[in-house]
Amino acid sequence: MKRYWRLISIVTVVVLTVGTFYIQSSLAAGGYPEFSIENISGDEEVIESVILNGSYNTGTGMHVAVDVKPEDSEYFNKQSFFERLQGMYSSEVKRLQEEYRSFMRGKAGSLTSYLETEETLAYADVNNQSVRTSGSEMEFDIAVLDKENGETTAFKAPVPNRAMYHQVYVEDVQMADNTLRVITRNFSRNGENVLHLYHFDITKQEITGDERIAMTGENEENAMSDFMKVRESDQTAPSDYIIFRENSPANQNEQGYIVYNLETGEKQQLDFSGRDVLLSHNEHLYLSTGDQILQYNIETDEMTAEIDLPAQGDGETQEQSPPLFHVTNDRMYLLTSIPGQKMGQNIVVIDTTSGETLYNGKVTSEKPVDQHGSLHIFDIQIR
Amino acid sequence: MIEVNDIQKKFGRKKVLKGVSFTAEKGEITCIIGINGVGKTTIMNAIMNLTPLNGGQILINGETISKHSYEKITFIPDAIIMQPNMTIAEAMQFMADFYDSWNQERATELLKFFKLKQSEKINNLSKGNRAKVNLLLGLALDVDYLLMDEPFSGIDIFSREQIAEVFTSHLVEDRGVIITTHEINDIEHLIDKAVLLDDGKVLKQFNSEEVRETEGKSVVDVMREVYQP
Amino acid sequence: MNRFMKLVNFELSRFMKIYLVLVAMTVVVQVAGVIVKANEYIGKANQAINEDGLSMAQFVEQNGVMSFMDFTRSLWFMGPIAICAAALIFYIFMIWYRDWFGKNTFIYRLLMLPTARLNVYLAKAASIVLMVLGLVSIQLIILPLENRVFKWMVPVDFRSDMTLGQIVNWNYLSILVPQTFVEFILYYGAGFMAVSVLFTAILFERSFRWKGLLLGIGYVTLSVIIFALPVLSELFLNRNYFYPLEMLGLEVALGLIVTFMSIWMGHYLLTKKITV
Repeated sequence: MKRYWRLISIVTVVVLTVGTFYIQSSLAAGGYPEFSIENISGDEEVIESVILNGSYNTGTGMHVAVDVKPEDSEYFNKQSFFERLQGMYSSEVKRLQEEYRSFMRGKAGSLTSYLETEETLAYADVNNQSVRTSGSEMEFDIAVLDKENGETTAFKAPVPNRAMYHQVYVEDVQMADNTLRVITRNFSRNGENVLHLYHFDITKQEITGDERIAMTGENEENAMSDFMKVRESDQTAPSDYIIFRENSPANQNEQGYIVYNLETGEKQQLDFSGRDVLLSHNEHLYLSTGDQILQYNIETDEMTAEIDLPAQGDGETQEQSPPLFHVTNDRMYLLTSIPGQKMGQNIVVIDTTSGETLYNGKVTSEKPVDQHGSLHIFDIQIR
Repeated sequence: MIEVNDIQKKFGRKKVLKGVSFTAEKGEITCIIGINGVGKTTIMNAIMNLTPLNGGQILINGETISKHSYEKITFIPDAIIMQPNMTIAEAMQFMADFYDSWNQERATELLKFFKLKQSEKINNLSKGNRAKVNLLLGLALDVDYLLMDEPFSGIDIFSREQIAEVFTSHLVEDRGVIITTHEINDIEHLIDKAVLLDDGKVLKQFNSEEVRETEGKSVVDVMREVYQP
Repeated sequence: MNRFMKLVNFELSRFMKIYLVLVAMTVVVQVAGVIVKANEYIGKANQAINEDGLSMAQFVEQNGVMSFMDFTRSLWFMGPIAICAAALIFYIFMIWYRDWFGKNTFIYRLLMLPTARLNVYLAKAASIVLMVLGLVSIQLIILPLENRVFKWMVPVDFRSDMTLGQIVNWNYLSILVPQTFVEFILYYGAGFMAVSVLFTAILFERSFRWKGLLLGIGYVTLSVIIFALPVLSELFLNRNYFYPLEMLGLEVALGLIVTFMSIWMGHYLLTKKITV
């Protein structure tokens, strides 16, 4: 046996070292601080299903993705290989993939491409460049699933005037009767970008309409320097409106909002005197004034509610960036950072109908965080 | 018995073996003779399955060669086939590790016979001593057949004598031996069978004793007839 | 101990001297690197504080704290790893060619061993894998030591500490030591596949020489195409047809196919086509 010391020692070193490393790393915490949500007031049940997506910055230029939940936090690098493998999709897309596995096969992961109602699941995407094709061959990839009978209608259609475009992205998908409405942002080869609305007749499987809703550029009348779709509370839910923010070239600071009614095709200008629209939720828009959240009804064109935010410790809630905001089922979730503190973020849950504060809490870490570290939260997710 | 049946070998377009056939019996020393490079080594390599053939067949005791054959037949090429940085002892240990047919007693005897030191590194040996180590490593295996490629080429006269002595000793005994050579002098009196090779073909094969008794000719005489008609 | 194990041990012993030099070089250069890097930073801090009159906090504000990453991103750390990797990749070829080259053609002995010739092939592959894993293990062993040297040299106010897990998870180190054991198996399984493909290509060359060189290159190309088929098809069709888990399953299956194809081909060449 002595003559085989080389083999025996290498195998021993490898097995012991690699074994110890993986056993240890599976047992040990990642060495990053554990976060949770500390209750200040209200019922804990209210935030049971809240997940805060964020990243922990170690202070040396490294960021680790982390989900903060009411009870604990979950670092992405502590996930199993299989969890991470599927982690490239958002939880919403993952749910769709689980429920409609064969329909979802080969479909892109962006939620803007989907529309889900009780009866249908619709999908629209644009195949831009591939290895084989150049941009001039870009085409729509359309698929509609009838949930009741499980039948899928799928077809491809060339993007009209596709030679003009550099790239085309789907911004939203809506449907009425048998017509699929696909809102896209088309980047022209001349540098402009245009918000298009395409109509698809699902039975005939063809494009039946093409409208330009908004565009950038100086040549056109009503052109703006840029436009951005307002975030929707539920990206895949049906909606009668497309709401986007415009920045006019004349006045960079002035932000106007435009509502496009999909039914009537009418465009309506909204002026909120510089206030930011945080989110659209069905027919409502939510705006922030700093210490208040305003609810605006598009249909009736009026402010329907003013909700006071609970006062922070020192009464100073003014901050540079708008708060993170989320609305579902008549509840709104707000995440505000405490000025001057790297770590503590407040989370507030408010009933949108009564304006009552249901919950008030604070993101805290179990142990004091490394003096150089900081937590940055960029999304609120409700399971 | 080793049967070589109509073997053919090409290197590129050049035909090196054009249908060579002969047999070698256990207990006999068979000598493959060729004046110059005429594929003698290729035949040895082919018997040991160290190079593929383009035709023909080789049988050892009626079977094609397999991994088990290497316990029963061994090949001693003209260069040493051990790691040069090994000592003789290490080389012997290597053989003992891998071959069941390794005979340690015989190895020790050969070591004494060749006057070799176990602690010496193969790298530092003279050419003659290297050939002896090579021979030792092959002879110490309890094999039925022993193949040797030019065992005398480029070796000093005393080493040659010593090696030739091995063939008459009990160290070879009743094994079958195949030797290739282009120079017959040292072993003419030892060989039982001669296979004369030229241009990839067997020109003549004969039993040396028979020829001596019936025709009164030596192997060299027959060679002269065949190669210089 | 059976002949395969003996062969592995033998193959290891043939490279052991260079291997130990590689290990020693890695340890010495990396530990020296920690010391040099730490001294650099401390020197800069001393100069700023003593000569430019900065406070400790100001210096940290301007220059940031030092972390172990400052060392692992430097050539002191990466250099030895690169040299070891290059040496082992080179040795994938040399482990075969050294048996043919030179006056002492050891390939005669290897092919005449009373054991399946495939064992020679597998023993060479196993020793390559073991040597790679050995170096990775050495790296895992010396990392905590280097981390300790780092902590010992840089005062706590100037540094940001990392655990071994954090160090390993960052950058290219996670290629050598992936996060989970499943990935470890997958990565090194793929590595073994690559070694077997190269071995078989080498045996093509050794069997057919010039013609074999082309065959070998062709064989590598074929293997890459087979293995990358799902990825290539998705790239060309511009569509991710497979779910991630299916893709993984497919790649594992294709990887196994390529590996077994290589081993079988290697076996065939060694028994039927090889020439000394």
